[in-house]
Amino acid sequence: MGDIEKLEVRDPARVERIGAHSHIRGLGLDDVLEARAVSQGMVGQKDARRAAGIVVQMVREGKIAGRCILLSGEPSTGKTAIAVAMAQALGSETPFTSMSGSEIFSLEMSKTEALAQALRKSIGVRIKEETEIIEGEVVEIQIDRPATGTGQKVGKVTLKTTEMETNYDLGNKIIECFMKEKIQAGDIITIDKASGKVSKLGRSFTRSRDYDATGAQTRFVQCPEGELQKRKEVVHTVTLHEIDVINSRTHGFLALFSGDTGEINQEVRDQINGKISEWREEGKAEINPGVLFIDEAHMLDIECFSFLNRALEQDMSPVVIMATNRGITKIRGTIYQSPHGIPIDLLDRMIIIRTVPYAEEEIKEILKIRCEEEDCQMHPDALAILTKIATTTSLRYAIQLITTSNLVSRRRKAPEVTTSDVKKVYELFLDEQRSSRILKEFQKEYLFNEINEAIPSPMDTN
Amino acid sequence: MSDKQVYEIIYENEKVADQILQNKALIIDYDRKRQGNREALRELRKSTEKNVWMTIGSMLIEMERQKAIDVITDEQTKIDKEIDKLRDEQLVLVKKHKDLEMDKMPSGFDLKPLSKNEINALKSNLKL
Repeated sequence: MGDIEKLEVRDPARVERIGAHSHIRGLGLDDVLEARAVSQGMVGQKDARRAAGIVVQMVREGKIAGRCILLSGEPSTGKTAIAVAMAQALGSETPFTSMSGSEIFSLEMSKTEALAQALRKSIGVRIKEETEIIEGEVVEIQIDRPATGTGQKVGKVTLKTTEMETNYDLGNKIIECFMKEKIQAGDIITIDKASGKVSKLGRSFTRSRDYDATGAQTRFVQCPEGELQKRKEVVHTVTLHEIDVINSRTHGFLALFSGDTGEINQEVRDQINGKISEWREEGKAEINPGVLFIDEAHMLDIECFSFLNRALEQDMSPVVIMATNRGITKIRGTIYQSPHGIPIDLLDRMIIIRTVPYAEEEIKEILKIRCEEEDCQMHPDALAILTKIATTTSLRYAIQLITTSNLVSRRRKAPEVTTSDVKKVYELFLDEQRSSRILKEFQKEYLFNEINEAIPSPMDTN
Repeated sequence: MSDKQVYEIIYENEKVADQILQNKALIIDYDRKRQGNREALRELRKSTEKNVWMTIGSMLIEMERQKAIDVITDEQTKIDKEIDKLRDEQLVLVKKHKDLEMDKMPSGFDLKPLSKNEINALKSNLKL
């Protein structure tokens, strides 16, 4: 009996999905916005990355709201990668909505509604919340229950920080909060002055040795510094779409009949716009225009493009970045051809960033980075062969071969992938060219085949 | 940048930083007084004596209970105003300090705060 391989039980919540672009951490530019050769997961494509860096800088300064940018280039030239890198470079502060062109077409709502929602999801509103809180460590807490059955509880709590100490008389309601949170001496608590809410931040470090065993959830926090009664200010960023949704929810029994169609009334949107402008004038809110990234933009049709033309000229509008790999194709919804499948009047408003196919050296670097990301040890000869394959077939195919050859090498219990593994996987899995060659030869044997002399050429992606 | 300019920037920087730290200590002192006053008010309101003893500065004074409560309440409102003023000043000073260091303040802190109703309306519907 051979070894029975141990069953690996992986917690699905903890497994991170390794996607096609998960190795990208940023644009990899230096302080003067020059692209480094290999940095933050990006390789080569220096001009496009530099242009993307300039765009990111302008978005941060809020200078190009309402503009449109097009990333165009051959397939596998890093268009989506640059968009992912821009999202990382902008950070979590700026709203970044990423979608594919075909997502517009849905049964639930019309195309223009889907676009309008996507545009509103990319505009953030910054607001500030201010509260007075009392934050301190509980020195002692004393609650007296009345001798008779009925009657209010009374209590006293002593709170301290590193600088001062004071005590508070507690009323009935707040005593109940204290008892619900099970607060005892040594806990660090926060009391919201306006709402009377009590929350426990943790336990003081000085009390960490009180007990030999504490619960798994116990957090140890430092004793708060400064004054007891502090002013807490929090800045939130809400997107316009979220505010739209709150205000358009039909409440009550009417919702049973009309249902939640997902479409938001234009009147609601106008009201929201008015209210936000009011807040801006009062100095209570700031608009934070973000980025809407539409991949496969050639899937949008002429109505969407006309809508976008108008929407980009609105008062509050995000930056729209589109990506496409089509050459001169028909605009969807018409019979006319146009570069990239986008009408010329929209193209005129766009800044176009070109991506070029990678050189062999760059392909090798990219494959190296992907190997690291997918946790695969590769022999340099195997890497060289893979690079050759990538130049003759396509980059994506070579990336697919990384994981597959990794598995094959693990099967033979080898520490790293060798050329024989790569060769084996190359034979097992076909790329697009070989597959279409075989198809042409044996098309008569395939089901439902059209026997034509002139075979329609594959999609024109020049 | 010449030496003189660098020296000036550093000098300005230290001055602003010192002011910020001074204000911080001042706020703490005010809060200490405020908490003390609050405890005093509580005791005065609970007691039923007609005359009470109170320290003003270094003098011990006997006065009517109601008058003592009024004096302390007045002082409380003054202290609250002072602390708010100092906190607003802190915001301005920190912004100035960041400017001198060629750094940016985290955005949004110079906005006016939303009212309680508005914040509650947003919080009850969104995950803020």
